[in-house]
Amino acid sequence: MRLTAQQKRTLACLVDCIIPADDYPAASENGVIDYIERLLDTDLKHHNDQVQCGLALLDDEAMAIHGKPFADLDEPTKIALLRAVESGQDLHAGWTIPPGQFFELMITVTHEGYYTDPGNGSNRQGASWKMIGYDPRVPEPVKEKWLEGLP
Amino acid sequence: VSGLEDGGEFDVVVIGAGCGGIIAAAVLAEAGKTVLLLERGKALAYPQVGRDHLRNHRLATYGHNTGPELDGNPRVIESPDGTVRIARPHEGAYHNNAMTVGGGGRVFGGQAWRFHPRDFRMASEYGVPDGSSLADWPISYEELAPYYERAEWEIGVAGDSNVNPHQGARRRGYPMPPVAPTRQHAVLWRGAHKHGIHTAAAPMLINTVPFDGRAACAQCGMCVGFACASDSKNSSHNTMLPRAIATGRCRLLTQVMVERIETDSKGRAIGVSYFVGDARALARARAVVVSAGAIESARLLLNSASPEHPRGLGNDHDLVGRNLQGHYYPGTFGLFDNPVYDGIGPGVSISTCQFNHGNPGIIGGGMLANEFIKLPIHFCKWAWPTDVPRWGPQAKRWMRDAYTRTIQVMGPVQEIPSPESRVTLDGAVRDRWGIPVARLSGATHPQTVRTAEFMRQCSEQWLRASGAKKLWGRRPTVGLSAGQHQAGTCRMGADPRTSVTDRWGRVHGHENLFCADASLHVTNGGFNPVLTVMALSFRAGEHIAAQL
Repeated sequence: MRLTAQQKRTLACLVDCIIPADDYPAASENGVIDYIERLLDTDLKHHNDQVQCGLALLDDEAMAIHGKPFADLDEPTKIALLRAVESGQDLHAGWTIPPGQFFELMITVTHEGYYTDPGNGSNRQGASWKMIGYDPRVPEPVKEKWLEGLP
Repeated sequence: VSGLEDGGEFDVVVIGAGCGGIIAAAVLAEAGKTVLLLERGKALAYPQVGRDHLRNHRLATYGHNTGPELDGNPRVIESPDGTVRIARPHEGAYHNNAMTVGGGGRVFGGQAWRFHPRDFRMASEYGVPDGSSLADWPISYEELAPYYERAEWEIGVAGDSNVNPHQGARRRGYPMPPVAPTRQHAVLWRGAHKHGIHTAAAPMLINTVPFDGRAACAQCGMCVGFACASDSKNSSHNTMLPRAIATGRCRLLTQVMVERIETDSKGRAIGVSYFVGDARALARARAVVVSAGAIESARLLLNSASPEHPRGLGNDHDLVGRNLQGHYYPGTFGLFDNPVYDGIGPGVSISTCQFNHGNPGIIGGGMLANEFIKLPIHFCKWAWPTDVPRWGPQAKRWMRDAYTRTIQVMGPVQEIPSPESRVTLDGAVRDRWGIPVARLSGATHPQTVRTAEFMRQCSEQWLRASGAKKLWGRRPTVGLSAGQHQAGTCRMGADPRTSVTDRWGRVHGHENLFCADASLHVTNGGFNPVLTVMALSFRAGEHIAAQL
């Protein structure tokens, strides 16, 4: 999916509210945007419209209440707005998709991108694994003898 | 049966190169029989199984790593509320078992339990609850014990050879010492000791020392759900398959989809028709062994209906596909003050069999053990407590603080079978070869849920006694259960009116047609079932070889 520059900016702020920076990277700094974009092109194609629509509505919501796009809000205001989206209450834009479902999906894919293996295009240096203390220590694969001569 | 390519003539055709089928094929080939071993999946090397944390047999969020292909292999799922939908292979509702050479054994964790002697006589021990089809096995633990021993020594199990008072008698110890005790082991051992729970190392189909020409386990943190990088997990594919091939009498064909078992007017199996690509072939045989997993084995018998057996082979009494069961897996997460993670895989190391039987007012029970090392995304998706926010700084802090301080204790519950939990053929939906697909319907018996809730409480008590400060877990609810431990659809028994197969796995009414997989299990034990699948296949292979 080709997100517009504005959608991408909104997405980055959204995923960074879900996993913000501390002494470990925020979601957008750990490859989560790339992960989500790739997923919406492949396995989550059927959620493409929902995500584009949700990102636009997030900006509509910010415009309706605060007169500026989501990314330009200060942190506490962003969080208050996302709480409203999560609960589906006190919303001012005309939500054409269920806001809670959209937010739930964004939490799920943000977590996936942040905590999954580097082969998925995010978490390239394993930052989240270092943070939580997971080390796979998988050895170099051996040549499996049982496969010799099999079809 | 005309218009088919000639697939040759063999003593035996074995359908499905999984844990059970490979062993039956190897035992038969070593006994001098010619064997055609047919597998719908591919022989996958380690890199092909891959390391994708979101697409594997443990967590198949967007796909899996073992087959079947996501498209062209649907199943139809009928929920208890009557809604009907199509499931794809990576969805939970599909209840997939790895469809590849090696079957589930290619990607399992490898817990290698014998069933308990009382597991073979559940109806006699507990009575038959209303609405259940609980029954005794036609064979005893003692009859299967020599074959358990063969599986332990010929496939390779690491375990604690000391006497376990909550397990059946064994003539011989294990060929390898148990997996190393981990930090979790030490914590749970202290709690068990305080609480009066007997513990032992969990037996595993894993090399703890070099064995059978393959290296010892590297103790990595990516085990269950994946192939083994050091080829140190033992199953049929890397032990018995090479033995079968080495005889020169076993031919393995992969990416072959069996359509039907062909029978004559007397009900004798004469061969198997199958698809190779889009071509169809017929291989003739003196005996046929079905080892396709409990769901697909039942589907194949039903799809092999003939004029003499219009409801399917072995199905004169409408029993094929019934009593579908798996394992409820209740458990508890416990958060400790200090880290309990030391990164030593596979992770499962301490277990108790004290709650498998003898629980007041409860039918059966199950084994409990600590869990495999969790991938971070598993922990995120499965272990999140409902009272912790899922986003924002607190959520990130949770992952950071809790991952190394959490232990999960869980285990498989012996299910109380229901005849209404079943595999039938869907009347409309077909797979990519045009073969009617499996339709899964019904649910487990409510007594299963009761036992599962009891076991959840046991796991909670063990963790509390071990010092866990925060405990959480989900209460079990009624549903259909099958998954990778699927069993029961061609149950063994003496009476054709209440069973599909006899004490050897021979399909009633078809003297040269056998099953050799967990479809035979009358009940599925409160244990991981693979060692029982293996033992039954050693036994069936010997028996069939003697008959031919």
